[in-house]
Amino acid sequence: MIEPVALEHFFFFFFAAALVIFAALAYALSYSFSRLYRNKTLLYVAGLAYGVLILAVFWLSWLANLHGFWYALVGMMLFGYGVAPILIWRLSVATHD
Amino acid sequence: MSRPLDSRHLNGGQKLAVKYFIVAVILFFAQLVFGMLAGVQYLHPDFLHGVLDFNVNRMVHINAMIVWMLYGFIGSVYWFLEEESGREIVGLKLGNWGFWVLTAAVTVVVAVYLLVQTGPGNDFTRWFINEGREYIEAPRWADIGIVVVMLIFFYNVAATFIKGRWSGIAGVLTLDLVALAGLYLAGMFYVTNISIDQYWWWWVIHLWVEATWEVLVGCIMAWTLMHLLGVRRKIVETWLYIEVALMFGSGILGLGHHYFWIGSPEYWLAIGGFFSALEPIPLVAMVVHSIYDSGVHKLRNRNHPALAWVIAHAFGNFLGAGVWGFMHTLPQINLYTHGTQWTTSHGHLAFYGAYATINIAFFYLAVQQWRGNVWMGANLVGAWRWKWALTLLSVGVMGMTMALLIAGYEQSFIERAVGGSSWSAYFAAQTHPWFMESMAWRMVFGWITIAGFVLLAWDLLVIGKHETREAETLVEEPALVGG
Ligand code: HEM
Ligand code: HEM
Ligand SMILES: [Fe+2]
Repeated sequence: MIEPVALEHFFFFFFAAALVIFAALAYALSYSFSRLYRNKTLLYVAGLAYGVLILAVFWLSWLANLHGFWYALVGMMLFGYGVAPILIWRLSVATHD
Repeated sequence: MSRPLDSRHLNGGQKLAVKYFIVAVILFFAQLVFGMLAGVQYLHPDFLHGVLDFNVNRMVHINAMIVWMLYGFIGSVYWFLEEESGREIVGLKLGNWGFWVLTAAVTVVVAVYLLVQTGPGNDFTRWFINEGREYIEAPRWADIGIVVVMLIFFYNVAATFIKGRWSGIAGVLTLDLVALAGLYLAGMFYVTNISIDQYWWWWVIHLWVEATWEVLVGCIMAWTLMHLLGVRRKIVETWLYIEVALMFGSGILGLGHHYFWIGSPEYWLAIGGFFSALEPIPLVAMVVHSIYDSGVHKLRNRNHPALAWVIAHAFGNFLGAGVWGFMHTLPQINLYTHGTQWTTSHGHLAFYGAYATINIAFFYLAVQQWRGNVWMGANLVGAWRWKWALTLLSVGVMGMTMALLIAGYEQSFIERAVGGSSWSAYFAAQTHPWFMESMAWRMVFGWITIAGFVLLAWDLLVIGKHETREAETLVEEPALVGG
């Protein structure tokens, strides 16, 4: 059911895992600030951060040997971290008035 | 001229809340002292051996933590109950009685922990000395007392809202308290099979900190944001519903990340890994929401230390639970990190970052009111004190977290991956220089944490004392128009 992380990948695994969450944060931050200040450049930064997120998730999935069923997790992470900030922003706007 | 702390500025619920806060701060100190004792014993195993053993110090350390945080939460709810419901608390006398019973019970339980440190484990000791489940070791007589006091608290919350005004916060809070108290029952009964025992015990621990406590804090935050910054009710309440959905959606089955290696069926590897890997999503979503809140509104901040601690909470929750949690939550890596100092690293940062911070923020809100709505904005007299308290506490905990992370990394390498989890590898890892040095650094940062605490306690006692200005009053939206 699982194939554990190889010894020589330990360090990179932790690094990649932290990178996933930090990239998700950077993406959420730049996305919401781009909306707040109606700033196009920040939207590109958000796109860039999401790109880093994608790479980090794939790197992580390679390091952690995520095959088979675990592909679903890769998909869910890309989808969840990508869509949540947009939905929450829309929601905040919708409840504003 | 000086302003005394004067309880004439407080309503009934707030007077009761202040009592809870005082005990919380005292227990916070006890937590730190026993943490230091346990920490020294890593370096000098003979220290107090046979007098105050490591297992006892560790137990008091983490029990004091759970109890002080619960005191802080109960106090916070009593604090805003009357304002939020628009009426007096229905059973204030009963609430006061509950406070004294609970505090007396906590005192007796700790005294017994210290007086009876060794002995058999049988029905008598389970009822009267120690139940043996980490974090909630209180014996069963105390469990029953705790449940009774929680029922009183719950009655006060639900009945006050029902007789007064109902609101979105009231609804979420009431349901969450049912879940929070109900879960405690899962940690009370005794079974002989250790796998089954652990299975239920985790319901309490995990479903508290990763579901019901987060939602409780969500309610407290929602109220705080309206009160502190004047954020609109509709916004905080809608957000609260979403947060509940996201937290429960990932957090409930995320429970599985504790079922990897305790003898539960194998499918938990998939369930636990999958759902817990999604647990940071609500934490990221919170960031979006707070930027919206602080950016779109012209926010007036009437309490600088409280807001600083709220920000520390947002960061700490993200870092301690989100990043540190995610790094070891997949079974592919948890196989090696499980139960090492890695776990302890995460435990310290998450509990401090998510729950110590928000409680401290609330203490500052309370103190402001208690001194007659004193000015706590810009150019506050003696502001260095709260700033240094925040800095030292956070640097201290972060430093300990990093030291423990290094120790845990070394353990997962030497003991688990290389040594194959053998008995000798277990000790080899704990005598390794990386490990020993980390334990020494933990003590250095422990002292910094203690210094931060001393400043914090001092500041809570004196902040605003020599301030002549009053805080501007904030017009708050009522819960329901005409309700
Ligand atoms: C504020 C929220 C959180 C708090 C206070 C917290 C606290 C803790 C504590 C104290 C432990 C150690 C339990 C023990 O004594 O064995 C623990 C274990 C664990 N936590 Fe968290 N946690 C939080 C959120 C999270 C999140 C969001 C994740 C995942 C993304 C996570 C993943 C884990 C894992 C995998 C373990 C088991 C470690 C092991 O195998 O030894 N935690 N947590
Ligand atoms: C003076 C500072 C502190 C020191 C020296 C200290 C020391 C310790 C020690 C030695 C342990 C036992 C670890 C083990 O079993 O290997 C421990 C556990 C724990 N401490 Fe602390 N601590 C301190 C402050 C804190 C703070 C501020 C918090 C959170 C608010 C905290 C939360 C915890 C938790 C949750 C555990 C259980 C972790 C686990 O099961 O892995 N401690 N601490
Ligand atoms: Fe958990």
